[in-house]
Amino acid sequence: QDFATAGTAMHHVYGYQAQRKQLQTLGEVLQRIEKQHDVSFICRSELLQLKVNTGRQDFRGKAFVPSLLAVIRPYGLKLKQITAQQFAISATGEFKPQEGDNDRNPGNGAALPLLRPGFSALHSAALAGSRWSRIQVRRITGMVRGAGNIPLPGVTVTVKGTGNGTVTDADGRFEINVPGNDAILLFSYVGYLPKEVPVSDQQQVDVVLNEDMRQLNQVVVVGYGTQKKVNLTGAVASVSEKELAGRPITSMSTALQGLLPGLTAINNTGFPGASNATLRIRGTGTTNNSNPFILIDGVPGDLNYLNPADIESVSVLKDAASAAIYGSRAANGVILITTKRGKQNQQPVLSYNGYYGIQQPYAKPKMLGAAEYMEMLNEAQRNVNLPETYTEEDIQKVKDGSDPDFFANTNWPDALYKSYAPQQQHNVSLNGGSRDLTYYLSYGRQNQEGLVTGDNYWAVRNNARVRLNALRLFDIVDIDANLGYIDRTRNQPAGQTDYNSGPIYSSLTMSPLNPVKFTNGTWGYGGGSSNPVAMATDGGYDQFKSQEVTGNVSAKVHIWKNLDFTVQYGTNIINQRNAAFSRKIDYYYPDSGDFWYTNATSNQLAMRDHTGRMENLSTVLNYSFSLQRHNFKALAGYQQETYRYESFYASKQNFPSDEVPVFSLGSDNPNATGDAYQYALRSWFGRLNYDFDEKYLLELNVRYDGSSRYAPDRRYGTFPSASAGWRFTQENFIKNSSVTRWLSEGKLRASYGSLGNQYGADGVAYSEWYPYLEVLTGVSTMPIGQELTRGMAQTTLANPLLRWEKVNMLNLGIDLAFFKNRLTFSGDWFDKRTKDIQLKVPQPDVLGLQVPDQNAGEVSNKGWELSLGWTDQVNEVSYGFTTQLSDVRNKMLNLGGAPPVLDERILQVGYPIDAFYGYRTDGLAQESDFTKDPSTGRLTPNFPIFDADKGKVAPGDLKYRDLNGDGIITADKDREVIGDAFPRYTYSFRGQLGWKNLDFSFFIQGVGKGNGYINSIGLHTFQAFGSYPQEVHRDRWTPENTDAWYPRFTYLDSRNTTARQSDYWLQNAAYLRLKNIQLGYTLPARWTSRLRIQQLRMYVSADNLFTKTDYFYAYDPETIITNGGTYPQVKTFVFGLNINFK
Amino acid sequence: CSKDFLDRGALDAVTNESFWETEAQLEQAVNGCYAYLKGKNVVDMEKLADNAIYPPMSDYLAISTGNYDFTLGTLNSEWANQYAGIRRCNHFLENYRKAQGIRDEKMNQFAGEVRFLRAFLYSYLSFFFGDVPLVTNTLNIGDEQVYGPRTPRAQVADFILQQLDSAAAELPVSYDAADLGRITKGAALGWKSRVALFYGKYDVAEAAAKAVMDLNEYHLYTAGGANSYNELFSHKGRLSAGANKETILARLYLIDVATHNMSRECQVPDQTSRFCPTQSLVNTYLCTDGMPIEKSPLYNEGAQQEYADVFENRDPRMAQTILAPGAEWGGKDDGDQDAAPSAIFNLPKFNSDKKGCVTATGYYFTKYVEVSAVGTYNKDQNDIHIMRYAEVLLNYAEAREMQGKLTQADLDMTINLLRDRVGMHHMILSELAAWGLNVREEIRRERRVELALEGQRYFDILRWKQGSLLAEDVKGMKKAFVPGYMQPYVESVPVDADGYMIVNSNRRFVDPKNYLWPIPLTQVQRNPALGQNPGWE
Repeated sequence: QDFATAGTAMHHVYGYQAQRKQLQTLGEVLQRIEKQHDVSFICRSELLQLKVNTGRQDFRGKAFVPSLLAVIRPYGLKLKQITAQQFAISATGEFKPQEGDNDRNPGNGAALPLLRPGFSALHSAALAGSRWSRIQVRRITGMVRGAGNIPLPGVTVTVKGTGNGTVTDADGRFEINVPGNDAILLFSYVGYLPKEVPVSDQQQVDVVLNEDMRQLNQVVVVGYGTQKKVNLTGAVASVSEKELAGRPITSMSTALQGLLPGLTAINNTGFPGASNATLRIRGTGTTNNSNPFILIDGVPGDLNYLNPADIESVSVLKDAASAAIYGSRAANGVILITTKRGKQNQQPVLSYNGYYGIQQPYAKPKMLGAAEYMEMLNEAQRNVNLPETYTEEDIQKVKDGSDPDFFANTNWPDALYKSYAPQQQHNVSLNGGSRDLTYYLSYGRQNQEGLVTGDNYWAVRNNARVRLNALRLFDIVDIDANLGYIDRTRNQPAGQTDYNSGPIYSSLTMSPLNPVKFTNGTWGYGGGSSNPVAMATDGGYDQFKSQEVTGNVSAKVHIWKNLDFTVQYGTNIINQRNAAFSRKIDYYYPDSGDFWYTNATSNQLAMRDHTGRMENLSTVLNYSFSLQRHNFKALAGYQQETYRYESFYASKQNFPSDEVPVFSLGSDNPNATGDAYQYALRSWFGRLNYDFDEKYLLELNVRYDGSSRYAPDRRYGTFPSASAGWRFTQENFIKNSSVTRWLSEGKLRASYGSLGNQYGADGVAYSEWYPYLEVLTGVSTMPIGQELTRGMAQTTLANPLLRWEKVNMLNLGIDLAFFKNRLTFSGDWFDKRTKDIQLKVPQPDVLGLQVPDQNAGEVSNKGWELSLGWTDQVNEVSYGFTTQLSDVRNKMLNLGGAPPVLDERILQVGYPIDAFYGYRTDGLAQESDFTKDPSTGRLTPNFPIFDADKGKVAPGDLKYRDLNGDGIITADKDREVIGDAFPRYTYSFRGQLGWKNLDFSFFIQGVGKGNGYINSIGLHTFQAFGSYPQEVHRDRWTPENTDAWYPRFTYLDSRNTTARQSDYWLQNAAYLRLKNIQLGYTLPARWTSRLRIQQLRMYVSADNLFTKTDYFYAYDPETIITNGGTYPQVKTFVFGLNINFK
Repeated sequence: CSKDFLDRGALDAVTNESFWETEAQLEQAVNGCYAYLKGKNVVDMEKLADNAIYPPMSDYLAISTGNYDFTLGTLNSEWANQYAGIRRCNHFLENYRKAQGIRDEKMNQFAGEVRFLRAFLYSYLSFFFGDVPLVTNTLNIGDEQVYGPRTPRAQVADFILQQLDSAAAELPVSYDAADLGRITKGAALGWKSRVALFYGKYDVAEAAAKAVMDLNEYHLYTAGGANSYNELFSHKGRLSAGANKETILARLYLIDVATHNMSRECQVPDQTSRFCPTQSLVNTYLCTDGMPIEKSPLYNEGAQQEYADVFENRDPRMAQTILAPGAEWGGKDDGDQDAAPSAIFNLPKFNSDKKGCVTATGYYFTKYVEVSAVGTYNKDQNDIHIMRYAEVLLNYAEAREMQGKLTQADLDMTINLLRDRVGMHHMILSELAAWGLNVREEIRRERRVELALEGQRYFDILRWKQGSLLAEDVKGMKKAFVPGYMQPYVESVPVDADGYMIVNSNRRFVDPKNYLWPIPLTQVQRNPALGQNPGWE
């Protein structure tokens, strides 16, 4: 284990110390000393190839002997002086019979016994056939691989009990001398479980190491540094590239779903290029921006568009103590992304990994045919005393297809969606380094096409990254330069894609009687809604392009022993442009060719250009020292950040050609607008870590933050935290007990602290960025003097009293490892309370302006997270699983005395934020629920109804429950909380199995409890214009079908629908999903190594293959609110390839 | 590490402290207030009453049927919108005097415009809700007034009238073309007459109307000859076209900048018209002899054979308001036997085959329809006429009559001018008496006819206390006039004793409850001190 942390580990997280370690062959070392000191060595030739770790030794000093001894001794070698200028190196014990050597204290450089001559000089090669050959030292070679049969470089290989050791090379190969016939080789590597392999008489030992899934010994990235996992006192979850590898991931936020306990990712769309995954750490802490604070290599950024292949590790700081170092920004938790860097002393490795696959819609609405629609429409109109629209004769026209222009039979979702669309990604990276310089270069391209006909949905993303690390510059400075570039384009039809506009929504609003195209070949039309296929094909495009440069440079100065100073400058420059060119689509009568309808007066070009520039400067001073077993680490820092956003928008109409949309050619209605905002933050922070013998752990943090969002006298906030840990397995009473046979590691953790949040409720720019200022902005008004006129007005009240939102969080946790760390368990419980929430407390509208944020609310989030992992290897089979379960209960504690917001999503003390609020129902009314007037036949309901419904209620209508028992249903007295939209009991289960060259993994993920609500035409029919029946609507109430799911049809009357939100329509959003399943095969190295291929792995993978849920069939259970117009979730099937060349 | 590092002010807004200095700034602030001048919404309010209907459920129909409660979305949006506008006006009136060195004339104009707009917004609030909080200064969170009770309606009415007086004194009679659309003195006076009439202050209404007449600035639109009445509501009658000296207050529209959907909604060629004239409105039109249909020898209901007969011998305004057979329209295929689009309307269409505009009542509007704007969604740039000289003349006549002061001379200088424009028989007091007609009723009829589809009918019904009219079934044309081939499509429509289609029934109007809207649920919940209107508790 010590070797692993000290070895030439590939984990840069050790920082500077690790990189000074040098791996060389003994021959190289000796040659260098020969040159420097004019001496010569003799030794057995095979020893010259032995890789030794020279550590910090440079052998320049006159007394090189003690240094050399220190280097070779761990490998079981001895040094003897033969003459003044000549030395011999041999394996321990080789000389025993002759000399009776007892070099018990070689480290002190005491006089060396003279070795008698007879060895060949270094340059005269080996002593073939010498008497030394009888000594039982055998050379063993082999290869070490990890998961997926990837060769592992840098694995420490030692002979148990001797201290003799080596390290695997870049290809995972090693050579080692083993004395005797019954040696045991010990393999260890950071992040992997150590392994012992007995060696009998074989020459070749190939080993597969298992990943140490519990990663207790791993080093984890924390705020402004790293920490050994065993020494963590806060709640930190992390994943490394291994967990992310091989999946067809389009964005990082999607990739993190289910990987980290306490991090909820809600992803509900397959929209090409979109990253609609919403990330929440430990619930929704505030009514405002609840997004976690994301840092990429220490600089705030957006993780969605990073190339997943560039990412080395992701850490999630969940509790106050871990996040407190980012105080002001950390109220919603922190996600730290570390990108890859080049490996020291490694020849260039060129890697390719990519996949090609297809996407299919997860689900789509199943619409009914035209004839059935017409009959149902008549029924719906009859039910509300409106004349029926269609006669039998009309319906016959559909059935016999005699009028395909006006009585067609089109299934619009089917017409709009393609059955599949391709998706591909290719990444190439080059990685390597010398002792002083490492490099990592990568390029990735992702191409995703859409499932909608017309091919206007597509996205392309190019990612490039260069990371250079210069080490030991002037002997004291390490430079880390990291440059990322993202160029992405997202295209969609001009009408965009909204939950209530665009072709996807329109496909639900288009009558099945309208044809896609008329018989004469022109676009079909029928009034009420534009032809979605025409919109998607000929309607023009809406193209979003973004170029984003992220750069950060840091210099770490090693000022003194254990004292270093880091300064980092990071910037993020975003240039984005949205160009929407909407074309005019004219529809003509199919018979006469007369003009019928057009969607616009002319074509139009509208462009919005955004630029944003974030600049971040931070300086950190680190100092660590130990006094006996007391270890201290201290950190102090300063950080400032500025951001400036500017945009302008221009539009023009009437372009002579649809093919050349350039502003200079447009002739009508030039219009331009623009906006801008800025902010700045400035912070000081400090941290102190203390541990006693890695047994008692303590961490203190404080951050003092200022934000430009607040009035000068309210800008600053102080956010302190403390955490402590106890590794009870380090206690002697445990160490010495039999418990250690099964308990390998145990730690209790506790933390409490305070965090801040500067973000208020969403609103117009100025209410967000300078809410304390009373300002006037441009507002639209009526044309005056036949000109477009703009006005100025205040639209939002200012609040000069606004201040930081504060989060206080208590966290208790336990980490356990059993059976030599094969079984690991981690549990956390937290109580998070957000105070002074910046809330727009609704006010009586006589106020006349949008209300500003006020520090008014208080929200509690209590929850727990459990994770359990097992990993083991039995012969050639390695297997393991990780399972996680977490829950958060969210509750509004205080609304600042404001009355509750009683809308469909409420804010009310005692209930979750945005809980569903509505009526209770008692099913559908039956005829027996009415009293029939024998003379007129009129039915009077025997149950309470709304006053507004008087005279309309009939059997088949929903029965609302009279909660207060006053005999009438009213909105103010008969509604209550009916459901919670936030997912509860999120769980995941991940399993993997490796056998020889095959690897298999699967990932199941789900939500145990949750609610959703599908509104409007997403679920209903005949409740609005263009809401057409789906197959499920066959089960509506009729006198013949009284045990129905759907109420009786009531044309354009939404009494029975989700428009009156009730528990009847609440969806159960619990689900279990096979998120990913993957099978891989690695070609045996002997087949590929001649092509310089180090590794070649092929895999097939499928995402979202199977879902079990009671949710409404047409939509994804993660889409908890929809009107039906959202782009569908997709299933993907891909074939992928990972190749490493050297 | 400069001290002002965190001073990051607004980049796209002007602070209140640095605003209110120049004339240009004041003008921009005034323009901002115009955003709240009502627009097409005014016409939509026609559906609150008995002139027009679109039978499927909508908020306005719900209000008109009486079957609604305080959760109805329109209630709250009307409340919140008017107060948002009022706040903007209050903000201006509190601050504009900070500006220095601007001509008094301009300062007065600005103040007058904003004062008018605030009074205009309070008018609708008090018409709808009765007592409403009277807020005349900018409020902030925590101010007692935010949670205050409502001010009695009479007090609000007094405030409105007093403010309109001030505005009339401050505003100019007219503007240059560059300021087309701004509020004038005539608008303030005219609006005053409407508000005074609503609150039964007939003397005030009379004086205000007379003041507009005496300005000699406004004249009835006659540029379109016999068709002038209809043309006023077309593109030719837009204020910017120059010929219209009749419109006193309008919301202006401009193609692709600010547009509405009025023409299309009336004659949408593939769906059902959103504004179907009711039989009740059709029956209101006099015959050309000046007599109502019940009395005129020119109208013999029993002898009518077909649809076109209904339009025979009627007040010419009928055919200029309600689409008559033979007229040009944008609805494409009509109800004639072929299914081909036609530029000329002949018969009403009931079958929804998407080939032409369907009507629920058998009638269509032609007033406010610009045929060229029918084919595109929301691309109508017609002015929405909020108040025109014709109304002022009607206000005057009505105010005189209500005070018992009406003379034939009054009629000749008001209603008979309207009739002259369309070539209609004059209203003559002696004739009315001879025919046994009630003058008051006939003046009200004249108002209903002249102002049909201009959003005034609901308010007239409220102030005339004729709410019971809203409880009556809404009817359409005589079913028998629907040709045989079209009959299957109206088969399920019930008819009344006389054979007229019943388009909407199960309506109610409770007196006094329905004379006021309920205070919206959202507002009551946020401020219980508002209380609730009678009958709505």
